[in-house]
Amino acid sequence: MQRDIAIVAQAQVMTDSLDIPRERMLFDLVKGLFDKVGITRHDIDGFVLNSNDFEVGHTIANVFEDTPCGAYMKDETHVEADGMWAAQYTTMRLLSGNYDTALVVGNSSGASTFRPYLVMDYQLNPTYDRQLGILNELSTAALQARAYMAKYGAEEDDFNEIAARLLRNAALNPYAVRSKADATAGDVLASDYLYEPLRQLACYPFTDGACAMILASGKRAKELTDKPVWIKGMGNSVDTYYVGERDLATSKSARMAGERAYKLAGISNPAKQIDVAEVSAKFAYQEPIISEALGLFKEGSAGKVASKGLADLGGSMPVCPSGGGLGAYVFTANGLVRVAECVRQLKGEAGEAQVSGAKTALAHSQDGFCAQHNGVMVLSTEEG
Amino acid sequence: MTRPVAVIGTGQTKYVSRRDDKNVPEIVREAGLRALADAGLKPSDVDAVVIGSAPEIFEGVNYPEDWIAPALGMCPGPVMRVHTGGTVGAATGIAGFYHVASGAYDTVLAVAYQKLSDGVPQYGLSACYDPLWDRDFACGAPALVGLQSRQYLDRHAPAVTEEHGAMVAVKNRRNALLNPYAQIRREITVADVMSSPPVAEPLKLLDCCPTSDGAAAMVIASEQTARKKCPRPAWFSGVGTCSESPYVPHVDMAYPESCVRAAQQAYQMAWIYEPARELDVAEVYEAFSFQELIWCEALGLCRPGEGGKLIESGRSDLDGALPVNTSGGVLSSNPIGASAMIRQVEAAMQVMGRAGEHQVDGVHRALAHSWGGAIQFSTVTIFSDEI
Repeated sequence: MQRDIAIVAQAQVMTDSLDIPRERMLFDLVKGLFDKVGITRHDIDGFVLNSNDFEVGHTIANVFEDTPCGAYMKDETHVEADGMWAAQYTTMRLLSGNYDTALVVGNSSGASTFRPYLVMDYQLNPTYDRQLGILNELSTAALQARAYMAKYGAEEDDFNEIAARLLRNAALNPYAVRSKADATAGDVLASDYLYEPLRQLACYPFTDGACAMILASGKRAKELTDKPVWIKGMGNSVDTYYVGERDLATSKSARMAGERAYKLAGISNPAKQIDVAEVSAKFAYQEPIISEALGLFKEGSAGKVASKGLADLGGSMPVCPSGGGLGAYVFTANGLVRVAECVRQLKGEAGEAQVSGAKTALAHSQDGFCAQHNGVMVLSTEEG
Repeated sequence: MTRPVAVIGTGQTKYVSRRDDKNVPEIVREAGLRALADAGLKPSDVDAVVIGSAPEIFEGVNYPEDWIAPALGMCPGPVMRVHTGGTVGAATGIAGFYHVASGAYDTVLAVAYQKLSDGVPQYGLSACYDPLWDRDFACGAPALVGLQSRQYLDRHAPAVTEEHGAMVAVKNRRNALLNPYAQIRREITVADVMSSPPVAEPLKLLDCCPTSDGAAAMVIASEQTARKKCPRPAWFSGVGTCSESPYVPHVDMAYPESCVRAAQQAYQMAWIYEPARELDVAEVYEAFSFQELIWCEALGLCRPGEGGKLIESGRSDLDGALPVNTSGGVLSSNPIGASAMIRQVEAAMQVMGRAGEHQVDGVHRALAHSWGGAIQFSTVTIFSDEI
């Protein structure tokens, strides 16, 4: 990359029932972040906001987000779908040399939204899939889970084990809205089916929340923090729209996004060179599909990874020490939250969930049915 | 300044009130492939796609980029969508610029679209207002711009009159006669405008833009590719963006500060000191006739209060010293999400010398402007024939 760019600091807020206006939530979050870093909104050259009209119930969602985020009379733009796209765009703006300090903020109000699953249906093709009424967020996910099970002989219990680990990890994350310190696969099995084979505890909880992050050029970042987290690589890729056109058991677009990011970051053996990964999974079964596509584990190894605890906090490749999407899933902001969680790990601020000696981290994001669109960012404690 | 980045090809669809033959991805594909053909490239030459749409509620499809991107023939590949309301087309072009300026990508396809016939635009726009304070009174865009136009007229009376707005409508519809992509191509007179039915005082029907289906696209490339593929690229020489408050009482709508600041940012980057003298052509986002005068003042193309004089003098005519809206402007075609990119497309075409019958001679520097949200977002892009 043509210039060194770092993340200075992050802030998050999450709840399952927001009792203040969304604008107030954003103001408190962003003001808190500025105070923590010791700057004001006037130190920010460029603002990149991220939200979704459908999910917040507001045409041109950023109309009322600019002012609480400090962007009044400032250079501000707005990126849709996942927050990681906003983080990647912010990085590009900094790389261009036109900006030195930038703020990125993603937010959504999934828990306050009237029937969030209904909102998800509006992603479907309006003339065919939506009219048929067969495909929706859960039914497509169930098909994908089945596709993985059929292709690799995985069991429902493998997914329940993953869900249990994520719920245990979430108990260590102060931002999580759902957790269970002693969760077992049995607990997940005991929860209802939302859609066979998706157990409720293996699906994401609706979450209101936001995530903000300050990014800066290398020199500026070092002025603002003792522990800048360097952006080493990034990539994103979208797969075909219709779920029937894809091999749902694997993710070609996640693989391509990863390859691009690894190339920039100089990573040839991700399983060895990455110390911790934050994968954006809405459902437990998605974690193996994506982490395998990213080269963190062998294809079809969900059962082995679970039984040997490879993805556990003390495992060889800890995945989602934050609890990931099962602890809290803020629509649109979720990919940004994964980046923020990597920042907490690399700054050594992850508390009980800290992966000791973490130097290189991977954050992943997705949007679309069955993770049609995937993004990857590789972060490191080391400059250059 | 960043590494040099240029527009090397543009594409548009014919703007019409209703496209029944194609759906959203097909319309976007039509514009995208035309831009690639104009640049002499294939879909496989593109490294990334940036998509812009104004409120996706207009078509009722969320995450439309996931629907559209595969239709552009580069799947799997990198895609991002920008959404900033009315300015989105320009914000998409600017995002394309930063994709290349960052060094992360070499050739980017930026596309923006809207298919307004798939929904009810003014319902969608009314949901833009604050649900508690404003939405009960909200009445789409004309009501807001009616207030803006009244504020402008009152401030500068009698130097600016309703007839001045009508003259803008006449000029831009006349320019549209030369633009094969324009939707409204009909010669009108000041008397026609003045006698057309009222929409939101002082706006009359012919002071207002139509609603359109359509898409626009630009191929944006690094210096190396631009030099190889385009004899006369339109170089990005300045970009500016500014956002202000969504609440009407906070905004000086007759001279919006967000527009002034976005212009300052772009002029500073492009080393422009006297825009009225140094620019050769300007495309401003006049969804309603009076807005052309308001933007020209805020952009420094004439002094505050002299908008009436500007249109009266013929200086902004196609054969004037500083032609404004040579394409026929938003008054002639308005696929909302694409409208701001159409301004960039026209400005780039003027610099590239590819504007056909509405080409202005000897264009070295062209400006594209847009506004969005509750008259709170502004963007300015300057294209130049040299780096």
